[in-house]
Amino acid sequence: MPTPPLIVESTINFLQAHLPFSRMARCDLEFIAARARLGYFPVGSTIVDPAGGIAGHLYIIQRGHVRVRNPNAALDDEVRGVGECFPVAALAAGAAGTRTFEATEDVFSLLLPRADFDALRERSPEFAHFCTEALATLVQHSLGQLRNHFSQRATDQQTLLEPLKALVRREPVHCTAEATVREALERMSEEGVRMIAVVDGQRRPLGIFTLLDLMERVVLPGVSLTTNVQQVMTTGPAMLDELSSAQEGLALMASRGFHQLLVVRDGELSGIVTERDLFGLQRVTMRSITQAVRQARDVTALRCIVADIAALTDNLVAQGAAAEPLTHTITALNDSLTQRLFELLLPEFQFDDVAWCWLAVGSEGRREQTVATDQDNAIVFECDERDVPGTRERLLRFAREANERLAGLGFPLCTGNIMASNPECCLTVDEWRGRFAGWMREPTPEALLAANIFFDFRPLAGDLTLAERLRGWLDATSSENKLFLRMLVANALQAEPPLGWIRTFRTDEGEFAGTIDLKTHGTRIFVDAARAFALALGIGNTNTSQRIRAAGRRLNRDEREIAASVDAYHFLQLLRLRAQRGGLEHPATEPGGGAQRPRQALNRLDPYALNEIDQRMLREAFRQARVLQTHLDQAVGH
Amino acid sequence: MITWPLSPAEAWRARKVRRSLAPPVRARLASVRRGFLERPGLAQPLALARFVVLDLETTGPRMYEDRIISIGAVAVTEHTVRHDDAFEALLRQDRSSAVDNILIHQIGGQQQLAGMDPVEGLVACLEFIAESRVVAFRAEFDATVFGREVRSLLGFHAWPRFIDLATVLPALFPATENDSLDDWVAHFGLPPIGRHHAIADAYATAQLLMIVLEAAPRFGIETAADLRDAEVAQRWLGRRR
Repeated sequence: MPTPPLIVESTINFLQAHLPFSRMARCDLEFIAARARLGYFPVGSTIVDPAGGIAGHLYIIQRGHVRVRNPNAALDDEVRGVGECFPVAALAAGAAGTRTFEATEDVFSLLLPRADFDALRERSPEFAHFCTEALATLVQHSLGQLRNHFSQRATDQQTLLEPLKALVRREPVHCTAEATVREALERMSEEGVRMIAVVDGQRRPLGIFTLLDLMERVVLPGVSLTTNVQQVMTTGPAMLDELSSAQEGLALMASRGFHQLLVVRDGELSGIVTERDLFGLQRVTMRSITQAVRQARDVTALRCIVADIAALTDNLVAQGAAAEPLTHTITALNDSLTQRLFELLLPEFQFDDVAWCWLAVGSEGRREQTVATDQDNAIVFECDERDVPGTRERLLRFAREANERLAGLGFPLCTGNIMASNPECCLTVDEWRGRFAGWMREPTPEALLAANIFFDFRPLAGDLTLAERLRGWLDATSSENKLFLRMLVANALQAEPPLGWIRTFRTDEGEFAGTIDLKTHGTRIFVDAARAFALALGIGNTNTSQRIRAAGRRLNRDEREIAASVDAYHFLQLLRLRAQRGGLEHPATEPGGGAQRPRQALNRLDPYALNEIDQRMLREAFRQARVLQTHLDQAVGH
Repeated sequence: MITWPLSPAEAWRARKVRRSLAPPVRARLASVRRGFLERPGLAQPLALARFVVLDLETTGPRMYEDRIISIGAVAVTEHTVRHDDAFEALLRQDRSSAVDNILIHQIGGQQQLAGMDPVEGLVACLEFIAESRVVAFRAEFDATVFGREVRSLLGFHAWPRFIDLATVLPALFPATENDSLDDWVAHFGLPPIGRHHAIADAYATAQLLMIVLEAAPRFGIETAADLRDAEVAQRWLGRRR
């Protein structure tokens, strides 16, 4: 029996008031009206739950509002209203989505069964277009999916049901009410904390004193540091018994707007828990690591920190950091680690009389270190001509020690011996210029390879001006060497994105059959192209995305095209990171677990193991690589 | 299922009506009857049941005299109103109903005279109902008219018990003064698709049924028997008030 005309009519009337239905042919609307059902979802009920697998229906809201919840990023919440439908992209991709849809009030919604949804895409071009667009925006959410994956791991270890006791990691920093502000601050500085608990004689908390209090109640009003801390502290601190759950702690902090909580046992202070402790993801913060680096007293202490950096990487991914800040963070941490190592080593080597500078080259020079990066470094120095051999010898001794120590910290020695301890990598400013000029004059394949590594140098320690002078000279010279630039461009165009015919990937054969090398066939294309742009246009920057942006602006490339290139590059970097950190198919059980896989496999990825959405993004990223190559060829190649 | 107790005269008349029907119609009725007898018992969980929400438009408000003009019915399964599982029939009348009546349901005289053969319409409706639980708003009226017509035109004296939402709703949402279908539709802010039209009223009632089904577990109403008990209890309460 056909659907009664009145039901069809009223459904069409409703649909016609909303996009994309208003654009669709009447026969397609009749199709929806006849196939749909009307569903009712009382306030608070979950309509679509990704845990339930692929949604069975397309939902078109007829009345009420629906909250879209991304379980791991509260910020992503959005609200859908009358006439909007969901989960379009997930249904179009044929995958279980990542987001939960909840009724925020009583919701009436039309339900179109999945088979009919698919049929509708076939028959209505307008609807198919609408789905494609939704899928494109879902690409953004794919990054969110990656986030989920990592935060799952992070939260596995720590649930909100644990007692607060379990979160207290150190003796609480406290002082008595009689202490002066200065004494309190000294304690805080010694312990490296931002707040201190103020207690009475029986260790019962009276209040807390934070750096914010210092600013607002001491420094700005001009109160003396000899004032009693009791007079400037915040009284009535948030307190919970140590057996309360982390959940309660969060609730209390959220309701009272506090960032920390005093944990008590029988009324006595037993610990301090901060918001960061409770958000398990942020247990290792960049701050805490840099602080630890700064305070490390020997090389052994530094070694522990390396593990923390790996953990932080995981957490940053979990928090949804994009590839760019992520690799920057890793680089920055590794930089500070290296710098601290030098501070510890240098007293043994008296270099006060020499101007020298430690250079990071290769990916470290580009601030694009991922986890499995080995050392690439060099030294530039300057001294009286007669002293050069002797000085080089001294620097090499230091460099050998430094390279060894860095290897001990988990940065593998460079197999190509591109390290400061190699006499060929420890040169004066003039010698470097000579070498650079030689490569540019005779751009043999070896010279190009070397240029690809060394031209991305960046000063790390010592006299930074040496590196800056070298960079200034290189920028001025490289753009003049047309032959070199042509070769450089040709080299950058050599690698081909592994795109096969229609909607497929070209995977490798042999040992790593069925996989793609994300570095050789992916990120390197961007890196090489960006370098060619930078050297041709005299852009001093070494970072790939910054090079792409700067070059794009210089060449008046469309902003959206620039963004597309950069995004594609970052997506490939993220996939590398995921592969390295034992992402998809090899979930690492502990930070650094990825490093145990064979090194050649670290950048390997089976594209067909990705979900449909990631596959689409990967194809798009490779396509962008091709676009960038074409652009490079046109702009610089001739 | 309610089996009307028949007097010998009534039973004789019913048999006579049945014999007057065309053999194919009698075969269909026999199969409907078998379906009724085999339908799930009252222990059936509400979540698994198929409900048919029924609304009738009649030639007037007298339940023992007026005839059915149109039948609208929609199925509710899995807590959804099924557009693809609905029934509508306009029954042919010997003469059109009075003008004031036409104004209510907007089915004109010509339309009334051109409708479906009433026997065919009723049989199709019974087939549509099949083994489902029947729900209506102010079910007493619909059940009486429907039962009477089925008996006089088909000689069929067994038909499903109607669940009355007008009785069940106040049991679940007591703090309301709602009375008519319009009141409840307005109360829940339901999107109306038309009024005083059998299918529109059935559709609106079906939406109310979904609300009832969602709320029912909170009142410990899990099975068809629970729902009937709640209805009966509320009917007693209503009388006392």
